Amino acid sequence: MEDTNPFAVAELVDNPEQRCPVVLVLDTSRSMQGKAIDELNAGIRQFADDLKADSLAALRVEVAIVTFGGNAQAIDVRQGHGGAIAADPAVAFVPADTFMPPSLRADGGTPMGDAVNMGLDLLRGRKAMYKNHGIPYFRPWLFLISDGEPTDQNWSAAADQARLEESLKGVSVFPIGVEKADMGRLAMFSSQRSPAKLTSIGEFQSLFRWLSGSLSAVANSRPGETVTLPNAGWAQIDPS
Amino acid sequence: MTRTWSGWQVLGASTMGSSHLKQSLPCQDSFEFIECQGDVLVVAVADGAGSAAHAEVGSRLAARRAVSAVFDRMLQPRTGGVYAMLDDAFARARQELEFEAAVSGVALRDLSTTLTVVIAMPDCLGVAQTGDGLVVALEPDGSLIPLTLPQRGEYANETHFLTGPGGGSPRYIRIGEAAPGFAVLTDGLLPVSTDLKTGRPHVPFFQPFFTTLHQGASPELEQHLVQFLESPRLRSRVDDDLTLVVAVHPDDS
Repeated sequence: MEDTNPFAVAELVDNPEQRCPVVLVLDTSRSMQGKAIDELNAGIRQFADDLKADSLAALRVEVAIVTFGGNAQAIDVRQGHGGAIAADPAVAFVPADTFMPPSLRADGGTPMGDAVNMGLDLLRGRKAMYKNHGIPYFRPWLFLISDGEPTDQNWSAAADQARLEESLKGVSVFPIGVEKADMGRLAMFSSQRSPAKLTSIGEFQSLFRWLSGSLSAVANSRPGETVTLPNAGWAQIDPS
Repeated sequence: MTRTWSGWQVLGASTMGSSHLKQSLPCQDSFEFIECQGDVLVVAVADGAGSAAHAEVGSRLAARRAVSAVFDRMLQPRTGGVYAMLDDAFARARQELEFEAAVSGVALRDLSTTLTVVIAMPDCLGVAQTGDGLVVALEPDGSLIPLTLPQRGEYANETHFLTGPGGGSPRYIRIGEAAPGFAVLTDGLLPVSTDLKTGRPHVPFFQPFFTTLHQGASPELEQHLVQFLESPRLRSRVDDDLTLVVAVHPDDS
């Protein structure tokens, strides 16, 4: 701009970017050992790379990971070592541009209910933080990926809670079943869409490609826009 | 667009956002203004919905019809007052979009747009809005007062539209004291002009526009406004379409 422009001196306010929080709730139980956990880790690395390649998504998408293998725990996504971190909305999320994909290991039972509750708690807490700081935000996403069936007692209460919060537009839940997963039980976690099925663990890459593409579409959307999610080539999914 | 009458000095521009350039969408913001009989200024600003197929048509028609509705009323012996004129502007703009949808065979939602209308009378300033625009009034002491609060849902990509349920009436109307100046903007400029936490307009953002316009509107000034809205400094911060209309009435201050 020319120096003679009288409007060049208009001072711009530095407001925070609008945010789109997403929690990946991932099955790391014993059945995921071997090639499955390797593919899942590769998919998450792909996801991180793709988000970072989109300058707006990198700033606006905030990621947290909760795993369920033996017990439900939030995972450190700042350091990349895959260790546990407090299930605290202030520390469990990182903006996508500093997201370090963890290296997850598989072991133990499948406490899916505990993990979904933890994911919902984190999203609720994160939204409260945005609200307190006047940061605009998009509807949060909870991605639930499992190859088995829940082994904890309270899974159906957690599923009820997820469906309730989704029907109140508090969250969008995407249940994904891998190979022999219990699709019937996964279906009970969403009021809006049927669970998608990954027919082989080789499709984790496509799944995470789709997820980063969809989050980019949301992060780049404008007020009033109904976001059209990319076509999910890896599975049948209703993005509504 | 710039125009100078005996009283009001007005300057306005809409520019396309970088996200629209990326997705090869047209600029979906529109604005219109005119001075009516009796030193009355009417301004309309409309922000077409990113998801609507013909949002640029919807916003253009809505802004134009809203302004012409007020212009017509001001020619009548009895205007019915500012409140009635604002209400009427929304009803006419909504009808215009319904008509457009019918004659061009598109759905009303394909024309989705927000609408903000300001009527500046010698004795009062009336504002009506559906959606997330912002109107800021300049006070005689140089301070700024927000006359609207952007109407948003919980989430950043939700707002209300003229084409939505009950869109024939504005969702918000405010009639207040006359002001020596005001600015109308679309939500694209909010992150750089307003403290989003408190909703307070940032005086050092608006001040250069009011101060400069005080010397009189000109086509050159309009070029400067477009340059400002398209400057890399601004483009790197906001990616939406941007509209800014500024009006001052030098005699009043």
